Amino acid sequence: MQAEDMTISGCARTEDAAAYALGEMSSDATAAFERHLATCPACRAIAADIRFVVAELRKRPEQTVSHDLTADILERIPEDAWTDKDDAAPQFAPWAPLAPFASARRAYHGLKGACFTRPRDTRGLALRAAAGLLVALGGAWLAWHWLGREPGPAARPPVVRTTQPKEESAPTRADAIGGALDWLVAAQDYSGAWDPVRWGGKKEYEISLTGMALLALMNDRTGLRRPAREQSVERALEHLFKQQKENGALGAECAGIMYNHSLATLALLEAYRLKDGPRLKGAVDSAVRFIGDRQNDNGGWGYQKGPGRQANTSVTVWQIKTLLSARQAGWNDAEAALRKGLAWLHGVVDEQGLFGYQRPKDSPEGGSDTLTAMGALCFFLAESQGAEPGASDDRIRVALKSAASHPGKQPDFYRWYFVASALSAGKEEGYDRLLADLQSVLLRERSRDSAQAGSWDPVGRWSSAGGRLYTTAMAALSLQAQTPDGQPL
Amino acid sequence: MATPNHDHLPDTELMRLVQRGRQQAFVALVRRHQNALLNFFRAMGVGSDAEDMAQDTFARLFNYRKRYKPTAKFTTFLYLLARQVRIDGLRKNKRYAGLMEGFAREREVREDTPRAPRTSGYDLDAALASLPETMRSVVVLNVCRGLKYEEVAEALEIPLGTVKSRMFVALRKLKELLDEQKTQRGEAATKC
Repeated sequence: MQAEDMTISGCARTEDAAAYALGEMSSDATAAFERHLATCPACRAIAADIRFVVAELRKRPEQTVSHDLTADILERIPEDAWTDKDDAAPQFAPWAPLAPFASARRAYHGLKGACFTRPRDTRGLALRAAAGLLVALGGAWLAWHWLGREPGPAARPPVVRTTQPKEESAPTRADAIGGALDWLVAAQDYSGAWDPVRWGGKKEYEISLTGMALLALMNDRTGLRRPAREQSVERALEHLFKQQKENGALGAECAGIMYNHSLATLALLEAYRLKDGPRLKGAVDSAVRFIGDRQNDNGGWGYQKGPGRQANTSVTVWQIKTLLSARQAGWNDAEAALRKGLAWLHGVVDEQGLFGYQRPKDSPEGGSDTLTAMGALCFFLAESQGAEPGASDDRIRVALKSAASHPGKQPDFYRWYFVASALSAGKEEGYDRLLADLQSVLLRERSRDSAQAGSWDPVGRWSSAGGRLYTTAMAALSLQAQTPDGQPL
Repeated sequence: MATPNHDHLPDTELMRLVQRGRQQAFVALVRRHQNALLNFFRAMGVGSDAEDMAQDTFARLFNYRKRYKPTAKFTTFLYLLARQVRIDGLRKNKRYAGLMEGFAREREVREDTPRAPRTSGYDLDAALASLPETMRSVVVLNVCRGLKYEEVAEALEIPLGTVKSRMFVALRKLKELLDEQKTQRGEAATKC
């Protein structure tokens, strides 16, 4: 009865109001429905009613069990059902050190989506592990030479590239983003952090990766209405608060501190936009000050401040991007640092609009596409804020278009993220098509491992630093880049 | 040898280990989800039996462990089992035998549910209890337990379109019920 009444009295789309208010729509559908809401008072009223009800329901307090139920439940299960009563046998988790065995074995047999069945007897285990080791070592050697030895933030082990066949049809962008965010939520530790070691990365980048995952989760505003997402973000923010040092640094001193610090600060700034508060403000205040403190006299930033710690475009761009985000959120006390940083960045651009690493035409990685996208992004963002008109010029815009015209010879999530972000921020004719092409590449690269559905396999540049967390978070952020009306990341 | 710590593993991996007979993985799953299951049953109107039903659900999880596929989200599978436990519990309980016909007609079965302390001005438990069972389960799984529409559809084994329509009708009904409570409070205050 109620449904009939409402359908008759409202418009034909009233039922969508529930999906909208609950964050169940894709970002595209949400945008379309919001346009409808602007012209439909019936749907607006129903959406408001539903939001009210949902908010009230979520106020119901959660209860806890009167005692741990484990012992009661185990009593109901026969003792001989278990195989690990007295031992702590190694696990065959995809992210465990034995993962290459599984990957190589799947690749060897060419089994699409097949699960790696763990042998039950220890003799079988030993034999298979030995065989797996041989296959893995061979595969790893081949992968090492195939992917090339790329200098990274730290020495890296070889990466085994999966050879699973691609899907016949790629998912939609919204589905892929949703899947990535769900995977990230499931991959989070109870501490609130995302632990890179579990997912094939390095411990020293935990703060960076937590920042990346947080940014991706917070970019999906409608998704944040889901309790699991909201709680995930709250736990992660709490973790970041605990990591901040007295000098404002987010994370411990290490070679990658400026990456860690800037990504975590970007996440705090995004959280501040969602919900300001004295705790967030205080954390951002000191984090922004720390960036200023670590700036080199020449205006750039390097891995660490001091003589011999030369500034480079990669580290500098992250700091400028963070300071621009801070300025957009209302922080005005880093203007001088920002202007000096942008001036330093101008100094590494050559006559073709290509950015160098420490100076013009300086390309230790063998190419300037990623650096160019990074630099262009900063200039575009600065221009959009109105304080630095003409920061970019035609050379840079053309150079970015050239960089974006091909996805690269191998997976490179770092490059894809900055190219996507720059195309989104640049708002130049033809950029939307290039962005769509890039995002279609990302969709095709999604993991085919059913146990890791929603994620991206840790392959390509820098994946050994951040593992599957890095590839998945960067892919999600790249897919979230929008044109022409969306906000740059 | 030290007992492995499984707390950091995701649900899907823990289930893989449970399928291989790993008790510690099962323990980790129980500890991780026991409160969520308790709250599911509480929100579904189960009273003092809620912890027993949570235990039944975990026992069923073990019995059906081989049926779990890692392509499905673990909580979807868990709530599918919880839903079955809930229905079985209603069927077995003689006290509610007379109401089963009504249940079949998708009517609510009221139980002696201990009320959750109120954190808003509304009696949310009473409002939820007024919903038919099928609508309540959709609302509880989505709004209170955070499952997506698709996951609710899988857990309840109903079409996605049915989830959408039930959710819409249920939330509108809840709004009416809360409005009624507000009106009654206003009238009571006036009489005082």
